[in-house]
Amino acid sequence: MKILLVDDSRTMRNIWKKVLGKIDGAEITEAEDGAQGLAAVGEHGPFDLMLLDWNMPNMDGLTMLKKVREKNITTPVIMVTTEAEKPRVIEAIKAGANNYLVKPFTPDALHDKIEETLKKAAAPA
Amino acid sequence: MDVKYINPFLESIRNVFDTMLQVAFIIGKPSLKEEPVPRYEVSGIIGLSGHITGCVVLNLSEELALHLASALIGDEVTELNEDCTDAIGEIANMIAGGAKKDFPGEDNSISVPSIIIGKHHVSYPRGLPVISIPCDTSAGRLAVEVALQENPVPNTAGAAAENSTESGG
Repeated sequence: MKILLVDDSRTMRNIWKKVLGKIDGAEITEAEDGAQGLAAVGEHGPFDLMLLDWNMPNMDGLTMLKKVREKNITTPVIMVTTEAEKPRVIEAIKAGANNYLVKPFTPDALHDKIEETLKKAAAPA
Repeated sequence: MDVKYINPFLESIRNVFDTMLQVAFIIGKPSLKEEPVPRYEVSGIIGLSGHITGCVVLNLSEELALHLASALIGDEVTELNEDCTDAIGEIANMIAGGAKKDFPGEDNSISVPSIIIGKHHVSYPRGLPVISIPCDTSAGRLAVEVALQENPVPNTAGAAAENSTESGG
């Protein structure tokens, strides 16, 4: 399973990787901002899952998400962010996010969110 | 400064410590900060813009920075290096972001964190009172310092910090 992690914080990417390490066959690509993330989608995609932070320099996660969806890429996306206000969550879902997790979170919460997202994506429409 | 801006920080600090740090802590009584000089040598600074503008500073000692970075990462951090400053920035980000959700208005944004190490001072937005929230942990005390104001018209503000010692010094 190919997974793209996009967060300007290396600490956060490492926390995500520890959780994702429990998923068999997880092949992880990292990016430090939305611009790098978008480039990674072109160079290393298609991915099976993307985890995107919102607030990042150069290009934020929401902009990256919109650009990914403009390319008709349907990879499941989880926004993992400190942006907790309801209008922001709605904005992200409208832009094409499949799920949303607010920082801070427990490792179990992230794991559950990933499982839930992948299960929904795999379910027949 | 209205208590409506301080209570969200108390809740957010608790949430970050309970969820991602799991370090014992007690939050003290918030008080007005008289001098804009940080007490400890490490500061993580977040600017706010939108309906609410100003800044939030996570100020702590090097020793406590290492301890909290280790707790967040899950591996021992022994140097005040990029791993440590990144972790402190993320803690500041989560505290500010968690508090922001309870602020009035829906257009509030936070900046990416800046980290200052060494002897420094923080240039808080002019004319705003700075409220310091102390927090005693099992590895020392930190302060979350908050200087915010409500704007009728959204604009951009924030803090600038000046340091007299290079990062890592």
